[in-house]
Amino acid sequence: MKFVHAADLHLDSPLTGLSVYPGAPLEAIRGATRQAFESLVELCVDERAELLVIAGDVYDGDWKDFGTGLYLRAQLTRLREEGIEVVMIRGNHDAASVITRNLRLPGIHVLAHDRPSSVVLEDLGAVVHGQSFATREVRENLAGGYPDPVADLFNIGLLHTCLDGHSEHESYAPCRLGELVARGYDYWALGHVHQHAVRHQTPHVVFAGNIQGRQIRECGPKGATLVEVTEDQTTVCHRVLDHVRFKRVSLHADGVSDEIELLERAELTLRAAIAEADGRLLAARIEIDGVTAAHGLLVRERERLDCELRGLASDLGVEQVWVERIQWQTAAPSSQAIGEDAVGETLKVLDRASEDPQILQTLADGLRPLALKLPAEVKTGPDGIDPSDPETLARILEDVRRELPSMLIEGTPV
Amino acid sequence: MSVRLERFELRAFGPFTDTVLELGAQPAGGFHIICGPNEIGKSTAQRGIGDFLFGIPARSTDNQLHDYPDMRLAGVVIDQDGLRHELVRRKGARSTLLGADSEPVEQTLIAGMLGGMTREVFESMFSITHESLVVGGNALLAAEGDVGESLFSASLGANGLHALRTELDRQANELFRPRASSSLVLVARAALDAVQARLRESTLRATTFTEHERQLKAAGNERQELAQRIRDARTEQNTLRRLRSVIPLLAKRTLLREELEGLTGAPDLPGDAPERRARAVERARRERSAALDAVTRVEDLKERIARLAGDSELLERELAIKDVHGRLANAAEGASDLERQKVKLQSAKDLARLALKQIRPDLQLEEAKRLLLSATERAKVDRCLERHARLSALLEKAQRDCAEAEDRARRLTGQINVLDAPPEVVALEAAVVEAQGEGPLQARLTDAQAQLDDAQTLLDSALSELDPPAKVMALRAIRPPNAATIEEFACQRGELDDRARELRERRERLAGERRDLEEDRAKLDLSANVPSVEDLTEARAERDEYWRRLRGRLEDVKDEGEDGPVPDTFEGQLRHTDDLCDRLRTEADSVARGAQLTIRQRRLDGELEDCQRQLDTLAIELAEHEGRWGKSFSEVRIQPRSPREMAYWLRTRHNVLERADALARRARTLENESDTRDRHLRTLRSELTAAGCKPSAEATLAGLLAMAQIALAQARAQRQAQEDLERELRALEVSAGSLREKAEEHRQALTDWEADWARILTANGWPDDLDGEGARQVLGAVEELARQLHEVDQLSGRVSGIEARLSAFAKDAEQIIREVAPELDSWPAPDAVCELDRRLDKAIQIRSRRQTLNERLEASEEELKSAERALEEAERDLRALAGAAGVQSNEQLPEAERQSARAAALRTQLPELQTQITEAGQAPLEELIARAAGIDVNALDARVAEAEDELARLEKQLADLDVRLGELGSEQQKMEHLDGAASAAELAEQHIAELRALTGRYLHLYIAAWALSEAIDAYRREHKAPLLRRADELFPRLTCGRFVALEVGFDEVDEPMLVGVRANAEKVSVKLMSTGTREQLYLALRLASLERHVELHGPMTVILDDVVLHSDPKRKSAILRALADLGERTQVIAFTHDPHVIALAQNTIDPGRLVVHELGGSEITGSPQLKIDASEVRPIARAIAAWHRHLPTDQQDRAQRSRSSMTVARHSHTLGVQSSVAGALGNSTEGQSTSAAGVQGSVAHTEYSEVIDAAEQMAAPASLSGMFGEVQQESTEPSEGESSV
Repeated sequence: MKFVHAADLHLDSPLTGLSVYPGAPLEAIRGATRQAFESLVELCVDERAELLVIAGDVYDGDWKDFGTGLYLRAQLTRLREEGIEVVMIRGNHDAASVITRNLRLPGIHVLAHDRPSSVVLEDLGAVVHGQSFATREVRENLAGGYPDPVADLFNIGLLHTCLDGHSEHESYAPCRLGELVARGYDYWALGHVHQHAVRHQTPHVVFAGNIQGRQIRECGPKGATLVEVTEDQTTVCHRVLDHVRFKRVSLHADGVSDEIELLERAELTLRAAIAEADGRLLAARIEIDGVTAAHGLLVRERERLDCELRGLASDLGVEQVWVERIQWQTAAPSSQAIGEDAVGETLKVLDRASEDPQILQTLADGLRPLALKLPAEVKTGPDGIDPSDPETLARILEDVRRELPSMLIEGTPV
Repeated sequence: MSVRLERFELRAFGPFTDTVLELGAQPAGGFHIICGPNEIGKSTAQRGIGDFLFGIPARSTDNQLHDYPDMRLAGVVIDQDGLRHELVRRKGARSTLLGADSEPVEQTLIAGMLGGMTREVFESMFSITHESLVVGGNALLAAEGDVGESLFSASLGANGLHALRTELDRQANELFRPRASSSLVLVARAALDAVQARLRESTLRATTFTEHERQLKAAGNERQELAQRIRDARTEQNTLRRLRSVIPLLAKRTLLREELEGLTGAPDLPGDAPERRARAVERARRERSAALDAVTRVEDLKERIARLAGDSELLERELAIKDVHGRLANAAEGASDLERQKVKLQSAKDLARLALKQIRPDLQLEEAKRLLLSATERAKVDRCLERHARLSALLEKAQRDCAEAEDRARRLTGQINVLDAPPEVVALEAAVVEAQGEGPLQARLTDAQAQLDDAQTLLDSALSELDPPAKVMALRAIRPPNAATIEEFACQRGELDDRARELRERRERLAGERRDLEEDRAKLDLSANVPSVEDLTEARAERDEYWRRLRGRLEDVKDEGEDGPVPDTFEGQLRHTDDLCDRLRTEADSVARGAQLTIRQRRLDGELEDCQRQLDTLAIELAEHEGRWGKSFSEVRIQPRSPREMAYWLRTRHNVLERADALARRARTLENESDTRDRHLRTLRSELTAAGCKPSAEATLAGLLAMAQIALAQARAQRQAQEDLERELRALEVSAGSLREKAEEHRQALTDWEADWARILTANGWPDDLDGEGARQVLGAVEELARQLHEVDQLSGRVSGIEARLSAFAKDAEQIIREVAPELDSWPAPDAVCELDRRLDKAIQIRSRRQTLNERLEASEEELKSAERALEEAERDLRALAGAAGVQSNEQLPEAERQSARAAALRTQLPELQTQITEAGQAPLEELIARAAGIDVNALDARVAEAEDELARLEKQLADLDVRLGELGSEQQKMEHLDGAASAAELAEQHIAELRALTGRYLHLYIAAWALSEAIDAYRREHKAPLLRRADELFPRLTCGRFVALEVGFDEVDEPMLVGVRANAEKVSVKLMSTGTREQLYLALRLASLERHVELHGPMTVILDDVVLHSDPKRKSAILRALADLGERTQVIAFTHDPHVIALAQNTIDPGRLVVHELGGSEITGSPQLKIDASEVRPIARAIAAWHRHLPTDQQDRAQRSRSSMTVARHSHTLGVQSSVAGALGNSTEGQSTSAAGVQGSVAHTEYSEVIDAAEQMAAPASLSGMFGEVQQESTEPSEGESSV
């Protein structure tokens, strides 16, 4: 038997953090989650898989467009026409979704949320056990109540869980790895954690990861797990499906003497990253660091260099690279010469401000008119920037501390 | 941090090679002027100093003379401790700094001296150029003399401070201003709002889709029914149509059968018989004509062949003749070459004899070969000679190195013997390591105390946010519901509210529709009182009732309940019912509309009821939810507010508890750190006392550690020095022994070599006393002999070969002529061979022609035979065809063929027609014949028409329904493939990302501007007093007393501003100062800042470039003196192209305080070459002063200035100096030859400072500066009249 294990599809969830600039491949990122899902369907068909199990989070919780549900139904219908069985559970996002409540999925096995249940697939010699999330937050251990394994069949446990804890994901349906291993199933198909991981072998306990990264914190290849079961062994192989690849591209400017050298290094680094993306659109965050005598120049020419780097990315891979952000963290060699003088005085002001909550609050008050004009989406979230938040201001003070001496000496703003 | 250059060398850099500047004369660095004309490379030299200190850039352009790998700068740098460092800078990627021994030196050495400064910082702070003064002066003007900004800017040396602040403000304003809708943040916000609105619009609601799906299903069912009806109608129609189409076919069948019977006797010929006949006839005609042509050609060819005849004997010897003819040209060439080769051979033999004579005159040339050396013998001699040279050099070096090592070992032994034994400090070291292992204890203690205070403040702040207030203990004791529960409640509440809102909206919509419906119905009723089907039913029931009564009366059945006139009533009711029927028919549309309204009304009522029912249920759920919410807080004894508020309360409580925990942790940390410090204090004191130190009882941990470090460092240094010396001594002794052994080895090898050399001399028969040089000469002569002998051998071989080839040719030619053409025997051989070749060519041509004709004859004979065969075949075919048709002659064949073809066609057509009939009738042939027998064709047409009408009607209905279904389907398909909402969401995320980027940038600019403003204020507060005090001293000096003081005034908004004070106490703001004065003010501030920096951080080399370019001579002198003063504190290096500045400096500054260097030359000790006596200069100075006094305000003054300028020009000619003054005064280098008017016009546009500069260039500065003092005094007195000068 051959089956595919996928999870965390988050259909129609938009890619975040990509601001538009001239030459950005706008069309290429459209519908990335849908394209990745279509690749999943093609994987099932091409590999002649007999079963697809989805370990929850098909939708994004607060997404209301019913078109997403209809799209899902159309794709699953294609699988049904190909004779591929589909068994799925609902994750925390699905439980919160209005689409879940209204969409019928004929011919698809959606496991119940009020108790653990099983789907026996006699023709395949397999049985799938699982339980959907009833609400958005399920804090109890669901795996504890899963039924005993069925003799002479290949037992698959389908579970949406944080397992034994994961810092980036909510602690839902927690359980221990040992507990799953001891359950007697042949394969645990897990969802919720977006990073692919094989947590145990014999039996396999596998997080499929999500099929498409949606932000810079979801870097690297994304896809689903193809499982082949023979009488002797179970083979697990992760298959890449993503359409857009997020990646942090580190560029070390140590010892760089001018912008030409920096751009040469950038070209080499970007070329490698593009090659690694293997024809997909690369959403790259370029992180430039290092101590360099050219720091002043890099600060002075910041805007132009941003354009140069974006242009370079476009030249290297037309419609293949989107520069998500360029993060400058270069520094000039430390200098005792600027202790008591004007620059030293400026640095003291900045240091005082970042340590003194009262100064931070005064700055925040001064920025309140801007904060009032910004919508909540801009101010909240992991990448949010809130002018009235002292922590945000302390972070920016650090950046200004790195850049202001060069601006003063060379007389050009950032 | 300190840098002073004692020497600077441009070894290989730009246009310089091994150029040295000795800068070490002055103790503090001194004041150095480096001069040179334009293009000599002053800028390169300045750049060289930067490159020496910071490294040569990767893309340096100073490689005009020296390639990158060869570029070198060097110098001796004195550091803060007075230590000298000889350093060399090369260009490269790493290890570019080298020591005097060319070994790499860490860049940190020089970076440490520079205090880690970058090149930009150095150039900004310690370099002053003329341009920077101009820009600095302008910056002062732009800042309007703002004290803080001026001091700050001068301290930095960077001149763009004001521009920077302006630019920061401009960019920030461009990004965001609260009321400017065009600011980028607000534009992006508006775009985001628009996209979010689009997202809401394009979001497909679940209810919309469900309703649509229901409609689609209903339409599908309706279509199925209609399709079945159409199928039935189509079956009926087809049956009728088939019958109608079969009847004519049956009639045709009968006719064909009758015709076939009439052709019973026709022959049965194959279908292609006519074509075969035509082909045979045509072929017979064609072949007959071809046979005739072939006969004619054969006869013609036979005659032409008979006419050709050739020479067969020549042709038999064809190859031999061609061979001899081919060799003829070579033979002629060989004969002429033979003579040349013989001459060369003789010459080569002569040269060989000459070479032999140099080596062994006693030998003949034939014996010379035994003198030659083989390659092996020659190599052996060479190796032997090389070995001797190498061994001699090695022996000499080994002896020298050995002597040096022994000498150094003796000196080291002496040093070791006088050293003391180091003290024992192991226990002290352990105590220090342990104390240091704890890290910065004192700082941590202070930090821990501060953290404790902070934690207390934070806790207090968090407690103050709790409403109602509570103690920490009380908060810890209670167990409120967890955040997840509250969030769950909040979500549920949100969902309930959403549902309630949706239901209310739905109810309002339905009510609205209900009102619209009632309005429609009212309108309908008003326009026509339309009867309904119910009205008709009711009227009919009444009519029947009256009929029943009437009938009863007619049958005498008494109706108890009715006494009225039943027949009339019945009649009335009958008419009323009929009327209703008529109206229902005539007003069918209105009736239908009424019926629709009724149905819709019922549906709306139903939906309204359902909606209300759901609202009631929801109200109950809400109440239950409130109840559960209140109950969840019952144990905490708190009346909960809304879930959102309680979530905030819960977070605050959590915050308070966390902060209380943090407070406790920090108190524990402080206590632990304090204990540790005391323990280390005790241990260190005890160990220091043991090591012989005397620590005071009050010493802090840092003090004790420092004392211990000093003691340890001293002990370590002592031990290390002794170990180093001993190690070096051991190494030297081993090295000396090894060198001695080597020397002995080399001596022995030289002895071995001498024996080998004697053997070589003997073997070659060379003299016993032949040394290396003699041997090399003999070897050269032997080589020359070998070359000449080789040449002789080659030429001899070539002469013999030519002679053999000529003889063979003559023999072959004679033989062939004798055999083939004996009549040519008497001809010279070459002529006879040529004639023979010509005759052979002719015979070959005849042979080729005959061969062609024979081939053509054979072909023609073959064509004749072929034509005769084909004619016979064609006649045979015609005879066969006539036999098959049963006719006597070929002319009867066409008719027989026609009859046969028609019979065959009929036999084919009949089965096809029958098949056509059965297919059209969809039944066996016999059945169709029987069915058609009783049918009236005209009635059949009418029935088919009826069926078609019915089908058309049904199909139209189906088409309408299909359109509707198509619309619904396509709409559904569209819904299933909609990704508009997803696209809008993606776009919204892009706008959010952009807004974040813009906000981030605005925050950077805002904070940078704020920090700058704060820093300027702070700097002003901190440094104003010392800087202004020094600038106050410098400014009057630099302006030569035009200003007596620099003060701080206040502008109209009470901002402190710099003002200059004149001797008459007049205060002049920066705005009102002249450009030059502003530049001097800026220079005063810069020099004050530099002096303060030197005071705080130590001396640092300052570089100046043409800073006195536009000052008048007095101010130039003042500036130079100020720079010389600075040179007393730190090294000052000034570059200038102007020899006059040097002269001015030498006349102004004490010789001991100034060093002048000429770039590309040596130090200048005297004054420049332009030396003119004071008396000669006086008239020029007077004229210039007069020119200056008469400002060009009116005609008279302009004339006076013109005269003055002409005086200057005349005197400059008299002095024989190139008159640049005249040039400056108006291009009148021709002096008096230029018209007065021309000079006058030009002078009006000439600046005073240019005149002064030019005058200085032509006159001795010492004289001129004195002269100006006098002339200025004169200018205050009545003029003597410039016409006299």
